[in-house]
Formats: sequence, C-alpha cells, structure tokens
Amino acid sequence: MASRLGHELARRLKKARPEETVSLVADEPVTLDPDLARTPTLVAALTDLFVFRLAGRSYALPATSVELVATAQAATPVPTVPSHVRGVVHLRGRILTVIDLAAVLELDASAGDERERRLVVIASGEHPYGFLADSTDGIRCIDVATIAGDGADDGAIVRGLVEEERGVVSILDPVALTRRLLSAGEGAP
Amino acid sequence: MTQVQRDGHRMLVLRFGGASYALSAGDLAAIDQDGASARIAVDGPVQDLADMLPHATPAAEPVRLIVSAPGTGDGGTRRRAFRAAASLELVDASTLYRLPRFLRGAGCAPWIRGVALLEQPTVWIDLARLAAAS
Repeated sequence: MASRLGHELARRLKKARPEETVSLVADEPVTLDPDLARTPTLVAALTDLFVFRLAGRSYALPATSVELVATAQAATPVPTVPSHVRGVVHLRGRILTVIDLAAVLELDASAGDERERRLVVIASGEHPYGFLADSTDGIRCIDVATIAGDGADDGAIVRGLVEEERGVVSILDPVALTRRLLSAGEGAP
Repeated sequence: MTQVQRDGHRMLVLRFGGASYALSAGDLAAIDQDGASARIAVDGPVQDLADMLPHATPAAEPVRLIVSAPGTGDGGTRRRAFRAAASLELVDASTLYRLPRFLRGAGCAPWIRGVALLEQPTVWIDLARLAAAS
C-alpha cells in the first residue's frame, strides 16, 4: 500500500502545475458522492522545496521559484544601489542582479567553503535576481503538515519552519522577499 | 531582453585600482590634464569620480574628463569636469546591456546606463547625466 501511494505521489508530482501542492486521496479510483467530494480523506499534501545553507543555517524556497543554480562568480559592484545589492553578473547571455541575502536576513557574513558556493537565480517575473548560497542541498519533497507557521501573508520573508535531521529549515516567501528588496530601494538616490 | 547592442561601440574604459567603469567615447567633449596644468576652462567645481564610484582607487595620474551637460534653466549647456585617477583605454564593446529592471526598481541612479560586456561585466556610466544630477 505504501509503495503504491509512493508511486502515485511521484506520478502526480510530475503532472502537477508548478505552483500547485500535490495531494493524494486514499484508495483511488474512488467515486465520491458530492458531499464526500468536498471533504476528501487527505493522506498527504506535499510541496517541493529547494533547500540551501546560508551563514550556518538552512533555508528553503518553493522549488518553482528557483530558475536555476549556477557556479558562483564574483559580482561587479554597481554604484548608487542599496547595500544589500552585491552587483551584477553575466550569466547565460544576460545581466543578472545579485543580492546579499545574508544581509537582507540580517545574518552574519557567510564563511562557507568557496568551492561549494552557488548562485541561485530566483524567477521573479520582470525582476529575476540571484543570491549566493553557501551550499545547496537540492530539492526536498515536504509534507505541508510538518511545516510550522500560520502562513499568513503579513509581509514576513520567513513564512514557515520545518524540522529536518540537520536542524530547522526556514521557508522563505519569494514574493515577500522581492517586495522587500524593491521597497528597500525606494529611498535610494 | 536587456541586450541593446551587438555591433562595436567605441567606449572609454576607466581602469581604477579596484574596479573598471566604461563610458561611451562619443559622450566625452575632451580629456584634459588635472591641476594647475589644466588648459580647458570648465563650469563649476571638478568632481572626483572616486567619491561616486565604488572601488575607484587611484591607478594613474589624475586627468579631467570633460562633458557638455544641460545648464539649469537657461537652456544652454555647461562644460563640466570629472577627475579620474585611472588608466584610460579605448575599446570596442561588442555587447551592451541595459541595467536590469531589478536595479532600476531598487533605486539605481539614472546615470548608470547599463553594463558593457568587456573581459568581464563593466558598469557603463553617463557622465553628462551625472553632471546634470549633481
């Protein structure tokens, strides 16, 4: 039974739209009457998270918000930008802004192994940007029931926490992060 | 797409000790010596680029980069000068990029025109706009 559910979850994860959370209803195929259809028996609700390390802590972003991960490269500083902007890099035929996520999250400067550092590119509509992660842990399929936090859209960048073997992973909201980054520049010269 | 040009674009590259910056050579009215040996009269004080550009540490004897900038109110132009203690190099940039929208949204000044792709990304500045803004 567990194995069959696992296969079904994998199949649904493949078919799911990028923004959707995948659910699995027990004992399919099931013909539900209208009342039951409104209250299906939820076995698991899963979401894919991209997990990375920054300043000794673990963070995650919805996997669908990450466009690509590339080898880290030095950013060219740009005058008159807010202090949380490291500069720009040339990546795959375009110029990309690189932000200092540790500064945005008010963390100490990163002290990881340079060889493990990666440039993570956030797909943010008209405003794609990247940040340097100390290392990346790949994509994890997380049961949303294990995520602590109310999920309220109150502008907070950290929207939830999940306990893992390596410690607590803070889940970031890419929309709130982008909003914060752009609003921080409203008073800039 | 932020790319604006692929053909050769004549640029003057300012190579400071800690960073390089590029400007369109056609924007420049003249290059003059700095200090008492300067020959070209300019309007207003000479502004030091080291005060405006990150990592613009001295790498050569200072020169004056002179541009024509709009005057205030009278519709005329002013000859404005910037001091640059940088080695100068004329190059043909094959690729120029507009500044990423993210940086414009983050409040980057309009005198930062974009990025010239030289041996590495180099910030492309507009001294006439800088003169008008300062």
